[in-house]
Amino acid sequence: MTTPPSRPSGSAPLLWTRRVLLLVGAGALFGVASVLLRSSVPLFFALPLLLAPIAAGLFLPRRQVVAQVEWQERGSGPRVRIAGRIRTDPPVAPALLYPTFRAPAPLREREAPALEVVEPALAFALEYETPFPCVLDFPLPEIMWRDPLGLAESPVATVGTPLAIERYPPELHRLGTVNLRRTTPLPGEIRSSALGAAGEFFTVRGAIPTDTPRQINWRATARVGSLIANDYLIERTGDLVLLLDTRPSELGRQRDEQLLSVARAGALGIATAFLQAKSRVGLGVFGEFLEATPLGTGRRQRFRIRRLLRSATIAPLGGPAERLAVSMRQYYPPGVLTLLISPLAGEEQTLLLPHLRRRGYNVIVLSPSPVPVLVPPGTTESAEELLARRILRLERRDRLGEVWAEAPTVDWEDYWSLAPLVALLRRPAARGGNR
Amino acid sequence: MTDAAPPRHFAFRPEVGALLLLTLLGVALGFSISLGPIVGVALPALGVALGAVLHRGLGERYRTVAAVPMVAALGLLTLWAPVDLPSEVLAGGIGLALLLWLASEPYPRGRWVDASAALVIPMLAVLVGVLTSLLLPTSRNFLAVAAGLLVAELLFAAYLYAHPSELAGAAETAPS
Repeated sequence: MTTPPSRPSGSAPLLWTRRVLLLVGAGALFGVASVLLRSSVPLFFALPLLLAPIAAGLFLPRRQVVAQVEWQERGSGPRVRIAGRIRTDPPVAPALLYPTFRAPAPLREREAPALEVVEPALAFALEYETPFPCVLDFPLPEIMWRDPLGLAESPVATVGTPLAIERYPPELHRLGTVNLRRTTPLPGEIRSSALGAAGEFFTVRGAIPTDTPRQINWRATARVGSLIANDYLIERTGDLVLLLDTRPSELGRQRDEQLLSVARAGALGIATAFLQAKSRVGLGVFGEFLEATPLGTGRRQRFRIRRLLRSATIAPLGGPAERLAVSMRQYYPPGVLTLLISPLAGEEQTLLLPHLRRRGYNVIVLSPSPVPVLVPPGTTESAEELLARRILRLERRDRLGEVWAEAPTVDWEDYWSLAPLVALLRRPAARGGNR
Repeated sequence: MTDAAPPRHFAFRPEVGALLLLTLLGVALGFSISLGPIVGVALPALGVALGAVLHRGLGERYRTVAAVPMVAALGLLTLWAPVDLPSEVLAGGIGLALLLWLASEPYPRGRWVDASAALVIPMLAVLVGVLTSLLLPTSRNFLAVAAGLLVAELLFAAYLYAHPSELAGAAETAPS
């Protein structure tokens, strides 16, 4: 989780807080008053104030402090719970460390960070919530060392890795059982390099406790005298291309970004589910031009997809729909099942479908609804809000009806559920059937 | 962002104790000042109360200046105090209690740092001052000590102003 700390050399930089000026100024003032009034009492008052900065300086670590952050995320659903520890080299009193955590959007703080000294580390617990699914990297905290009197401070170098936070609808875990359409000419010829419990026979090996009775090769076991299991080459189930439409819409940049965050999370969840089932998954992000990750499988492919998703933003200028369809042919074979994730918030976005179909792509549309973004659901809603939501839904229904003529469409209004998509993908007719 | 958590480990917050100590010492010194006990009691009480309100009641913006009314009120008290050993001890105690409050003030998150080590040097200085007052009861010694400290502090202040990048606020705004 963490990278080994690179040790910055040199002494720790010392920064004085403004409180030093107050103490030194007040001490000097009362010192002068003491001399002028020939009274020792103000001097006694001034003495601790004047000497405090010197005492504070004595606490300063002799060399640059490096803090190693070890953390993990434990929440589920909208709750994001982060717990971790901060250790330092050279060791300093953990209570003198002041971490500042900057939560990226859309995380909202539920409770203020709880810090606790667990010698020799500083333990922390953070509580956030996310209003909709998201994929993000929580940045490392900024840490300051501060002396006990709050007079001097020193920035602490932080090592570690940003914390990956992924939230997507739980139904996506069931997607792995969907058999996708193969786009390779001879099904069964291209196998996964992974071994498993089903597929083409590969080899025998010593059994392990997790092997099922069906995997045990009983004849070999009888000959050898110990339990022997079979290994099989897992077959790929099929191919899927995820396509994100990141062109700007008439909703405005801020709302587009919110919808993109939801789309990103959905795309990663879907990719994860199919990659776990050994399918090949590709990702295209279409803003002005197409950025694509070719079809691939395995954990590396998930990493590539996540990286592309993290870098995806709303493009300043939208490219024409035909450009996407032409570019797609450079990366993906025709006939591959393509899941277009688009809010369908404007005419231009709906134009993608005919072009993709004309180029031979079998498209399903997953459309994050802009209605919850335009009229956020609240506990108490006025009649005007209810009416506005109703009108928006009617408009959207009308638009989705038009899109249905081109491709099966899933309206994604409850961002925490993708049950309609899972149900649609389970229907062979919708995904083009298996060859 | 991290500075708003309620204290979790202490029913009695250290800063409250430091504030009480400051008030008690201030009131004790205030009884003997030349302006009368009413002013003597009201001045430290008002100073400490205003400081506490600035620190806790008005938000982060005013927290940095919370020590100003305390230092001003308690410092003014020492100007009118009679020159005798109890007043000197009380004045030194007020200075140390102020540092104690500062030591508890930066920890609004319930963490109490043992600041006794940071208070050792000022405490020793006050002790030396009290012993000097007892053993060498001539005002010229104090003048020499005061002048020496004053020169040292002026040099320190000059160093700080000559190196503005070492001030925390300046470093935050400096371009990287």
